[in-house]
Amino acid sequence: MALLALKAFFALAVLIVAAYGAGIWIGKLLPNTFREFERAVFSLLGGLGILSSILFLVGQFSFTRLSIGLVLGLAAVLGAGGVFRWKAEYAPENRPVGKSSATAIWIVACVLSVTAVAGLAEITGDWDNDAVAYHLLGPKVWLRDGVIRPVLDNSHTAFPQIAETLFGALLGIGGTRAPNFSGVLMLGLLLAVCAATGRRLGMSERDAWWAAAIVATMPAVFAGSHGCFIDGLYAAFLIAAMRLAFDAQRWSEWAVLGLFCGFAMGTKYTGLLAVPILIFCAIAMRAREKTGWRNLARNAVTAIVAGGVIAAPYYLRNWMMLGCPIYPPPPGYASFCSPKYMPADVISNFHAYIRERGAGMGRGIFAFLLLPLNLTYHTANFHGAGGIGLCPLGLGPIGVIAARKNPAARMMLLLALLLTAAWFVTQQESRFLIPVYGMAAIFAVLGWRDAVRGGRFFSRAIAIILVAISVSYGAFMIGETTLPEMRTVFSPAYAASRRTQEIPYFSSFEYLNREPSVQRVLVLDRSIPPYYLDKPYIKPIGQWGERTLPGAPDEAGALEEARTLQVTHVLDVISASSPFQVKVGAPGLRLVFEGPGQRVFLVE
Amino acid sequence: MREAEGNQEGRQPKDEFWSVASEIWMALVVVAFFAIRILGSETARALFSRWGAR
Repeated sequence: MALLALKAFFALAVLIVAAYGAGIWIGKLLPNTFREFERAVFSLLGGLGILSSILFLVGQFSFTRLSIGLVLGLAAVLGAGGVFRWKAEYAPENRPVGKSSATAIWIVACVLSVTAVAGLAEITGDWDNDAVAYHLLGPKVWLRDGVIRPVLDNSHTAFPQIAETLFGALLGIGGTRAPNFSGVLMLGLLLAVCAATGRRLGMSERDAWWAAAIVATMPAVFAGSHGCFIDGLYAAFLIAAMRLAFDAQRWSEWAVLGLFCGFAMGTKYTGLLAVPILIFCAIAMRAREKTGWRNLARNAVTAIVAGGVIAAPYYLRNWMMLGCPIYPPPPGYASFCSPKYMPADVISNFHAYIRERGAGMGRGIFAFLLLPLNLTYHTANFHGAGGIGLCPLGLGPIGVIAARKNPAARMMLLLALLLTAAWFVTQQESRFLIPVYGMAAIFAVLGWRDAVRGGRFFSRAIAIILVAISVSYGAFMIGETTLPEMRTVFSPAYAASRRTQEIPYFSSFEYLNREPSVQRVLVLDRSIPPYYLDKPYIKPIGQWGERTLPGAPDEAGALEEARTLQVTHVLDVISASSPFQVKVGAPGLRLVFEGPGQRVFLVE
Repeated sequence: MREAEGNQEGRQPKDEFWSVASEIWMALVVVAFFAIRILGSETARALFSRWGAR
């Protein structure tokens, strides 16, 4: 375990230095209202995006440890000099932290520590765990194949891949624990960007720490930022773009804004909705300035073009290889693309699933108006992982009213409302709304300061009680969910029992991975998560019903073609969707391993 | 300059009505939390039903 942890730590350190090197020029292009700390944060965050984009492009031709090492190494050389320079200029001893912010700093430090320790746990779970189903499946297969290609048996591996490409690089140089461990970086960057935005809206350093602490203790944010979930990174890109939109003046500053928009679109499809909304809000905010419409239009076009250039490779790749830029295709796809490997009934089933999962607590106007209450108190209806705490509802409205004359706060409010509306009509999955939760936390701290400004004892007391309940309830929920993960880090016996309990068909995977005669496995049930298989495999019907083989045969058809497909072993299981599909004694197949509800056959 | 604007905006003297309204709103949110999340939880419901049975 110590070696795995060391490797993960090393890989993340290399990634941080390399990202800083790749993004160091971004810090120099930021508007002059940015402080030194913000420049470092934006350089690192933007550098992650740049680095991932380069790795993705290189990975279309070669995604091996050598190519990853070369890209990271070159960027790290650039970054190392920058890190030392920045460290000298921004040494902690030169920046004393006020005592009053100690509680908030302590909360942030605790949450990040928990994220780091829990991040060293092995990812386990079945096909319901997105990390197992596709966030890590893609990177593992890319490294095995030495090239980045969508894994046809899970269409979600074709999602935009800025985060997954970074997971692949970490997996390549830091081993199996490194991708999960990177959650501490992703969450840390999100908190830093939220704090930076708070500072721009007039917060003191102490209040900015509190904004970070409130975001950190939102279980919904935590759930989307660790365990190889990518929503935290997506939110960091989007909030960074918003922060830039407050102040961007020159076209180069708008271009950097566009880069962050591109990174958001390159991380998650939801960015395709969020970015136009963000650009619209930026134009609405800046329209009153005296720079003129022509100048504003030119700047907005610059941002859109920069964002488009960054995001284009992900969508063009999908279009060329899978027949549709957005894959799985959205409703109405037939008018602009013809997706491969996904029959029409599979696509409509997928759409039905999304509609059902994202129903939340209804889609009418009344449900929209009740969202603040429902998101706060009925979080389970939005797959909310413990909710967002009381601060957004209890203090956010006060902050909105208090900051109503600040143009940047007005833009943030408009953006939050429009993003919420877009989320409401598409898929009401709580973690998809993390950018808005970050903005709500900023308004909450502004509201907190305003509520206690009059000096009334009751105001101060009730505000402190509210924040204390919110933060402690969130911390409790985060602690409760991560306790098993942290236990696996310190107890090998518990880790072993968790593996056997949580990895479906564990004994078969163990057999297939250790047996040298296994060259290629035919996986016969769509519920089997091939992430746990270290050998090449064929899965004729994917998780969502994808047909992965030429001629689109089903499992029985693929079984008949086993020899032609160069399959050496067949994995057959009893699952919720099907019984065993191969009879013991079937011609050409010899049973070589059997466990509860699982069989492995050798193709003779 | 922009940050200075941010610090100044919305910083007019607070009036009594606004302070009381803020307090009531915050108190309502806290009370609703206890009512819905704590007293309305499965554990609390099970506890109450046991008391009722007695």
